[in-house]
Amino acid sequence: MLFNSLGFIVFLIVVLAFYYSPMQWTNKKRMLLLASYLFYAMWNPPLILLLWISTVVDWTAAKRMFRTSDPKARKRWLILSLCVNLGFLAFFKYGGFLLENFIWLLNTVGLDFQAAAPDIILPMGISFYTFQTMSYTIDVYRGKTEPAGKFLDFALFVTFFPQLVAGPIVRSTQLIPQFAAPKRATQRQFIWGAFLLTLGLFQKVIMADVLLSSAADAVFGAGSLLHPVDAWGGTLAFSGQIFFDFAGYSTCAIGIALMLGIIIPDNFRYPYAAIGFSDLWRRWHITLSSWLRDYLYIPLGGNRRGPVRTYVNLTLTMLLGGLWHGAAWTFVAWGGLHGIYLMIERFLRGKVRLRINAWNGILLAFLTFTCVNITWVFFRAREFDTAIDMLGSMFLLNGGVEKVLQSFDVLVVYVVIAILFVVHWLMRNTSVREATARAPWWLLGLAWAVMLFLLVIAQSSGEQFIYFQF
Amino acid sequence: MVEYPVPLRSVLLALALAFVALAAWEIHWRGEDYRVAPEDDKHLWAEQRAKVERLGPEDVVLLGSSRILFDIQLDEWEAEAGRRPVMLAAAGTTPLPVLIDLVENSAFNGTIVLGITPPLYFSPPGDEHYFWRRISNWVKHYHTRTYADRFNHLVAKAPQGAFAFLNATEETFFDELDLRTRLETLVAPRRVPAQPPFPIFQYLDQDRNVTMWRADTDTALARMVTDFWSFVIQPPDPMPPPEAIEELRQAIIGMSVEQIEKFRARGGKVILVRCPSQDVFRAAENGGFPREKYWDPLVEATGCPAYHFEDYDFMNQYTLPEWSHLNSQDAKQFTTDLVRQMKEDGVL
Repeated sequence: MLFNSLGFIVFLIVVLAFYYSPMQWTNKKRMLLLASYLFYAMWNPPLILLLWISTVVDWTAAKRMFRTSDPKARKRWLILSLCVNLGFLAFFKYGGFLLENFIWLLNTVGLDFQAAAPDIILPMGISFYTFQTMSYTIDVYRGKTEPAGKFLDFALFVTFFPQLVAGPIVRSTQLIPQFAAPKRATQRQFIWGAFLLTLGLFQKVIMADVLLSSAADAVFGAGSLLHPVDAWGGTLAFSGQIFFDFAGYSTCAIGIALMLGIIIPDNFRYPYAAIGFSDLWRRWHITLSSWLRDYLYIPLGGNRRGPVRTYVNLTLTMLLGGLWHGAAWTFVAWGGLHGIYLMIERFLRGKVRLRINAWNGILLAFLTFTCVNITWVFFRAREFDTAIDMLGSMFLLNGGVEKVLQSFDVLVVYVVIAILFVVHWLMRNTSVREATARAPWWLLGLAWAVMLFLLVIAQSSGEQFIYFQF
Repeated sequence: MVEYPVPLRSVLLALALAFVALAAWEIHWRGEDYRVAPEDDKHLWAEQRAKVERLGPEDVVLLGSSRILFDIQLDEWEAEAGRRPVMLAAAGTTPLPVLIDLVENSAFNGTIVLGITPPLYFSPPGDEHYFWRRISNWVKHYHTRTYADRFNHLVAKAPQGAFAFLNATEETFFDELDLRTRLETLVAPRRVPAQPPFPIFQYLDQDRNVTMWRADTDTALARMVTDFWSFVIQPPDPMPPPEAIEELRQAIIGMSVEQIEKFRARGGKVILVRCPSQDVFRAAENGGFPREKYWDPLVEATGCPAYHFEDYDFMNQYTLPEWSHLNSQDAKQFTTDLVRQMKEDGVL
């Protein structure tokens, strides 16, 4: 079910009606769990089985690990949990990719081997919920947390519908304790949740879908050498589209959870105002970055084993981060580029001392944003030839002259992205909540009304969120 | 961290302002004569397609392009034939993917009325071609639609049945009322060549029964439509080699024969219908798809009962406001006469 659909609004109203009815807390949690399964099953009922298997395996593994002090037994349970979750990912997400590369490898060494392309459905949000449940078992294994006391609480942690299919990736310590005692949103929380839901939908429907997506689609689907204005236009459009799409989803998720009185963490903090790439990854998809840091980068040794090993760890983390997004080499290239950026930044940080102020800060943020745009070309292109052609056009290297964007799209993309960058810069040290607190009540009402009006007249056809495919 | 900052009075103001703005928006577009009607999209088409699974040998399914949509009126058909047909024709498409789908993926063994608009019917097959891809996507949607899709379609019916401003299709009409299309009209200069503006000139109901709108009463609007037709019916430049054109013609006829024979083998019947066209449109069709090379061989190869507008006075007595479709009043009489003729011929 998509947040940006009328069906979801009806679904949410029904859930809220039950949630705020005079019902015992345990029954409310059962209702939320059932609603979460329904939310998922409305897309593809049989794939709920994967959620159930993940839930039961991780619940059992964590309990058993906690009960025994035998390190080997604990490790066996951890390995079982990792194998199940990573096995699902390997089969459903990377099966086709692995087979394709296996065939390529055999053909390269002269063996004539062909296989039919596997017809595997990618379960929506599999990368999110498997990472979420894995963090739970790893934390229990490390002794950082105790297993959940109630199966219902744990099952709800794995399946909680606001963040089930596209995050934020929540840690068990952030969510399970909130299920312990009855929760209801205060009036102010409920209103703020509804405001965030509207803001998130506005980001997704108006900014991403109405204003930016068609320019990105036209440019990346053109299949020709483009005029630099178009090549940059398409790249900037995608840069804005993916931010508004994904940040919009996270904002909706946080808002919906808050309407239930549940707090889930932020996932974005004005990433296009980042100064450097360490800063970017503290602002973009924060819950994935921190997951990769805690469960991959630090276990690999982090920065504790000398500069060379640090660079290797950074690169490995970013390559796998790229692969997390999709089963294609272009995603690996995207991650690899970010790894290179991080290495260069780390190298320069040791050599150059720079005091950041407002003037050089915005220039460095703009430089970072420009470099990020280059990585988005690989993320969006899906094929290296397209990416190379796009970069050639953007940097005037291939004499591309074809125009595909109408004046409307050129105007919208460049104006929207300029405003996006400036707003991110102005907001980089604050939050929507703090900014909103400074606004008069009537201005908030007016802004909310404008968003509601535009959302209705947009007549969204319910485009999927980009991150659902990851 | 600050307290949650939006007070209740902001909510009330937002709801009041949004309500007033939407009411004004609705009143404005009703004033412009926009009608309350469902969207002709893949969801509505899939709902009709699902009906086929419950049809019997006495039932009729209508396939074709926009001419079948405009020219066949469901109430008149039902009044004359006694059963309401299912409308699966779709504008700007070839009906072949639907014919293939019904034959291969359903047990339907009633009657299929297959509308032939030569430039569309004899267009290249495959999803890389627009006329094929558009309907092929709808067919795929029918087979892959999720419960969420069905639920959304169900709940969208109420607002679509209440508000005229809910007017957005998968087409590229320049006067649709969705935000994107409205904004596009604000920036006029063209940076790259584009097709002439194509206005909406129809609306439909839940059974996908189409009514012509404005083109029959507004000559300026009809002129916009004919300007658009003049643009789109230009032969491709460069023309494909004659051998390729001939190969395509034979392939389409062969594909039709294969499907129709399969359908007949399980007791089904197919009736071919060539609805009228006029003026520049007809001249272009006669030039690019002459009857003796396209329609006649198709009829002969398939062995289907066939109705070409040139052969029947009752099909050829109307003036088409925009060269390609009947206005709804004429379409009603056209439908009645066509069904009567089919009954008289014993094919229905």
